[in-house]
Amino acid sequence: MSFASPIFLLGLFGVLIPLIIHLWKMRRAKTVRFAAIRYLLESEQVTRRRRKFWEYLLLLVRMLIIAGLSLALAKPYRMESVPALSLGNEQKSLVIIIDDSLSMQRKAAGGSLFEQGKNVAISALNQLTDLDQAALIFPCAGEESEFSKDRELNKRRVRAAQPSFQRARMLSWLGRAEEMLARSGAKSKKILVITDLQNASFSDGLNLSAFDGEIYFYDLGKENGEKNLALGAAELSRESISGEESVKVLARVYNFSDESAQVRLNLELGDQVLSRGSAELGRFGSAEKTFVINLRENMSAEGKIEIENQDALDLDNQSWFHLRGGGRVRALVVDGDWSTELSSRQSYFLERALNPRLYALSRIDPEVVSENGMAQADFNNYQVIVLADCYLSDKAQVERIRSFVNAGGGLLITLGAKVDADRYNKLLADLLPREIREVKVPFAGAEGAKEIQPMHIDSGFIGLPERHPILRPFNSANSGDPAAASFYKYFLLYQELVPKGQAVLKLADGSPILMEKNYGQGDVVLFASSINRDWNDLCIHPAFLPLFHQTIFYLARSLYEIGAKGATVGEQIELTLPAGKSGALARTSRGTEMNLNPDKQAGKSVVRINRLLEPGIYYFWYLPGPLPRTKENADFILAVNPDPQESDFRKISASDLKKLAPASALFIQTERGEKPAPGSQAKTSFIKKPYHPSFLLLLIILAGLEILILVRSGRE
Amino acid sequence: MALWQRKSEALELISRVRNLEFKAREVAEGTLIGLHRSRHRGSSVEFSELKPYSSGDEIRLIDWKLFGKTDRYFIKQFEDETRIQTYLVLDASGSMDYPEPSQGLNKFEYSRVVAGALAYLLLGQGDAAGAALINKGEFNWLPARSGERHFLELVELLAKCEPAGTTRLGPLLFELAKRIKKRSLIIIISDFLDPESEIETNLKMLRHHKNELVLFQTLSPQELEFPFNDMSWFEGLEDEGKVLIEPGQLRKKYLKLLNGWQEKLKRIAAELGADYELFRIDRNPSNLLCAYLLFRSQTQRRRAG
Repeated sequence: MSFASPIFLLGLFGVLIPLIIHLWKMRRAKTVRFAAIRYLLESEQVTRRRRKFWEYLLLLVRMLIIAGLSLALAKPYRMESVPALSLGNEQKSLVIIIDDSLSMQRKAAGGSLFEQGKNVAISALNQLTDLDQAALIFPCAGEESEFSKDRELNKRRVRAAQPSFQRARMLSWLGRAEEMLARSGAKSKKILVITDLQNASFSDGLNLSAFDGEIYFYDLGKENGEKNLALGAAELSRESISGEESVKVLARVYNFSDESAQVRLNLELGDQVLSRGSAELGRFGSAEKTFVINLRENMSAEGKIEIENQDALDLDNQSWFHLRGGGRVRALVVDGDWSTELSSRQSYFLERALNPRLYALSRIDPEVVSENGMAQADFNNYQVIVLADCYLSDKAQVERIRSFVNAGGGLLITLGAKVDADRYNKLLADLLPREIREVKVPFAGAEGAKEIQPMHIDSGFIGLPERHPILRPFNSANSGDPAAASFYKYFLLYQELVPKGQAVLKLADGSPILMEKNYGQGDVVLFASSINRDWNDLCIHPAFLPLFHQTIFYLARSLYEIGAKGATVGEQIELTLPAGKSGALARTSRGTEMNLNPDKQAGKSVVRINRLLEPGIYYFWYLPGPLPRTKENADFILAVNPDPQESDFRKISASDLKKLAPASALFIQTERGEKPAPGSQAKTSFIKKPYHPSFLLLLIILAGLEILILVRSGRE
Repeated sequence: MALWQRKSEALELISRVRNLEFKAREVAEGTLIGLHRSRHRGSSVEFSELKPYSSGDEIRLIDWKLFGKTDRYFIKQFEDETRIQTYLVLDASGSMDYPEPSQGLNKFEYSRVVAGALAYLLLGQGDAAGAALINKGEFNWLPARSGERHFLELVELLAKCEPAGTTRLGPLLFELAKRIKKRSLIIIISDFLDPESEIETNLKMLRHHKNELVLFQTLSPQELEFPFNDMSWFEGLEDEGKVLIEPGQLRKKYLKLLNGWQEKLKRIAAELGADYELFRIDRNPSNLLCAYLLFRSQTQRRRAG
């Protein structure tokens, strides 16, 4: 430790002042003859030990205050050695780019590489004269400052900078620095890039060979590869292992070192470690590790996979995911084709598929009533109503259904022989995703042919990347293939200019077979064919059960959402707002909330989250929405993870770098000065790290302590 | 030289005696003015003893019945019924020599004046008064007598005494209890800064001998308020040692202890049926004495009524 004003250290002798005053007061004390000395002696005896303690404490505090004041005035500082950069003596414009990517957060002397980089930047700023000007760029934060001759201002900016969790695109920002220098009109243009020279940061595909200035790369990365393990975003999929509903979590682990590694992994859900595992990784290899989570009722939790091993960077050792599930769902199935014989009923297959007595793991409790029996049913007991081939003879019941959906209930409408298209279009006009036309029977060959050619579901539609949540089970071949079912008869729906609803499934001829629509607070799904074997054979295919389970869960808002929504730090995402929603509110992984206002895009309201700055789980609620906003009632949940490429510390080679930048003007300087810049001498310079603010803080605390002691001893 | 010294000492003593006598009379007269001449003269008499007749004795006092039986002259002697015997017990220990002369009258001088005034009042109304001075751990005793001449003896005893030595009030009260044979009024004038338990025990014993007790506690304002601020060595007046003290830190505790003792003394007095009075030495003794005597006469009248 050194001192900027060591003369003030003489003040340390001042620590003797309180002691001298104390002794002088004792010496100076006159003798007072006093008759009632007995009571004085008694009082003194009782309080002596406590008073002595406070007296000596006060003496000590006062001595410390004087010592602290002297030290603070002497301005102590620590010299931190930084290899010198020779930027030349001519008048110049300098742009300093400080790499603030995730890889710069790896451990190093003084905290992290980023902190070292800040010291280098301050050292470079110290070299500038009053005529030089400098600007700063922090690529991941997207911050660039104007040129300024005020060195102190730039130093303050450097000190205030924070590292990010993103990937840096260094070449793009080098291009930006060039533009800034070109605009500045300076003769001597210099760029100082303080970076770990991570290969991934220089893969923008840009070339800077036209630059007429000098580029200095200050390399903070180590030559010998550091050991680093990283996790990619977890992939989640539904699994049925021995009939149980479960989620498979696939973790991809990377080993970014030239030694093989044994990785220990934890899977945490909520606050519990559910599972542990390990994986063997070769040098610069990756491996997949699978965890299976058995789903329980009401499961809704944040989860993460974590690497237990110690390595160079801790921040990439976690991968976040989110599971969401609901409780039991009660569904009222209104059978329009009622019969005393169970197998003849329209709802026969649906009831068997949903009923937990027949399918033990179902979370759905269906109750089947006839159309006439609907009047006796209390809709408040159900989350979903299924109208299976109903005629809708009672208009009052239709009104009840409408209010039920408007208040947040789900409605599944399946069609059939009892359905009168005109009646439906009239009574359920606002509930239907589209108006119903006539029944179609697909015939082979030309119109009028007698042979029926069964129609199938368009499998390409199922395979769309942005598939509907209802279709998610079909990721896995275990859930069957809806495209295998044959449709002999189905209702055609009117094509509308402004679509009211969204097609979930279409037949090969383009006719929508499953459509959905929001109505009020609830949703409506229309299945354009019969739910039994009359018009199709879907009900005897394996896909029937997961498709209608999923549909009922979707309508009841009780779906297990398993990892479909994930993003990388720094990514921009868009959310399409449902009808009737005017915006969204996002809660970040740190708990801060922000309002997102929509943009109109192709008739849809879209909100954009420009940059997801940190890893973790983000929650979104559409506005207006239910209050209070809890994690359970969030409309959209996003797990955000860092880009594993940032965890690969392998460096770009000097020859590659020379290809990207004009070789004649390229200077590379390493942390240890192993590769000195051509024409420059690698010297060590020092920067001051001041301590006196800490001493001033200490003084304030001590002064407060003295007041406390005085108040306390006064009270006694 | 020695002769001259003895002479000057004698002169000084005479001056002190005169001075004290003067002050005591002044205080007593002031008290009497306050009492509006309430001097009480008893008229009833009680037979005390017989003595052989000698020339000059009043003939009306000859016991003729006895003359008939014995053929010798005897004179009846009577005693005034209201005449009481009072002992003034004055603490003349080292602690009474406070405060310093530069700060005015000290506790002993003040107490001496009060004792003198009381003697003057008592003798003036025909009562017998004695004195007991507790000085240097010993007992200076003057038996109770009546008469103007006895006043001068009392004053001389008081004036001669200089406060010194340890108090030992407790044991000396015990000694006093042994000496006083007749039921008496005992007025103790002291700062009562002795060990509390001894004082309590011996006061109880005095009371046990059917004596009536009056406790006058004389304290200085310095003792009652402890107005010191500077860190000082405090030294006792009776060789209790000395101690370095930051007065501000101990004031509360000290006053608590002193007030506690005063309250206890009052309680003891109340238990023994004794009067207790605090004499602050910065207050006029006439006023305090007058107030006390008025209070006493009122309570006695009430008791009699």
